[in-house]
Amino acid sequence: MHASECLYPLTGGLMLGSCVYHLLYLNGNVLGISGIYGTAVSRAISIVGLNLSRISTSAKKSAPNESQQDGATAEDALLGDSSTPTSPPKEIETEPEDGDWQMAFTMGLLAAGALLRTIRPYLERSLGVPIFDPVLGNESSRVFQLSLFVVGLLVGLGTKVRSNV
Amino acid sequence: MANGCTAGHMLCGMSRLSVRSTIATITFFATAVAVHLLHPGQQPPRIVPQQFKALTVLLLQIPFLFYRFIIPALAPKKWYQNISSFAVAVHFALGLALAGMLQPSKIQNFLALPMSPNFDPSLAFVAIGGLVPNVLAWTTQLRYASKPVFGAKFSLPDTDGIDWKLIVGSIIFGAGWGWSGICPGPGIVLEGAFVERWRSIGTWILGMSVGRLITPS
Repeated sequence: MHASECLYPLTGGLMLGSCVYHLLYLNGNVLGISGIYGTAVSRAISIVGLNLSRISTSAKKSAPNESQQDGATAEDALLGDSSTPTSPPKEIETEPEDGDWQMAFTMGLLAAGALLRTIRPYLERSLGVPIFDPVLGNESSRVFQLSLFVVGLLVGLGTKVRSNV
Repeated sequence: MANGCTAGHMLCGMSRLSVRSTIATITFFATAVAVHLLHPGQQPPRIVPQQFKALTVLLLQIPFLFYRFIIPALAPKKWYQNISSFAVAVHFALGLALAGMLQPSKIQNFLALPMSPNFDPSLAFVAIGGLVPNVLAWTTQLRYASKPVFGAKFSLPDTDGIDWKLIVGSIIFGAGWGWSGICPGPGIVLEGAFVERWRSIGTWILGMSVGRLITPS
């Protein structure tokens, strides 16, 4: 086994370890990606829901006869069901800390993916190894795509309930 | 149901010497090996690097300078946590790329075990690099710390029990991981990269999202 064959993974592992350490040491958060991603998705859904609710609220302000719908929840707005008010009218407030850092982290992963794509030719030439797998012949088949969906489903199921590791 | 994945249980949990995470890791790893042996799939040829390019590796550490030194010094307190989380995620993704974990084939070749001619032992070094310093940091420093540097408190798990959900969830997760070689972190980075396999990775991400949404908390 060539030395650089283990040095790259070892250095990469140290980088991952540094991230785990600093997220806990500096911010107090655990770097569990399935939980972070799940919270980020929930947060994104709630933001979309709140935005829909805001649109709905402004529309109602211009139509006073329907003002009783102001208290519809974000979920109602998201599902398009604002006809069943569940609480009195109130200002919509967001909790900036709930899910925000998880969204920032997820955006960081996606942005880093875009960065890696951009610098891929330089990085692969310099390191002397590929950083992404090539496309295999059978990947375009529907059976393969369906199997990937099922496999992703298994990962989602397996990691859910709540991220308390 | 396992309450975590490779990052949460193996890197974070085992670094804190959590028995629960160790059990989960052993379970999903064993399942992934079994599934891979049953379904080895088609792997591209293995490419071995001929030399270690230190300058390139150093350039990949730029996000570390940001979240360790620059952001704490310059970022407003209100935004510190979000900005630093973003920078940590970028460094994490670059670490995944350097470690070879953005190649599902490399994961699957590791799961093939030494009896296979395709076995790739290099990912064992990822575990050593990710775990050993953190175990030392936890046992000598973090477990005695009262609060994080910039946060009000540590958000550590309050559960350490081992139940059927942990085992079944780990088996399900391990089956998915062993079949595809993709776990959540690399999956999200690969989708952001929008490389040739984006459609396949996107399908996997969609499945993972649906799986999380339909599973009751």
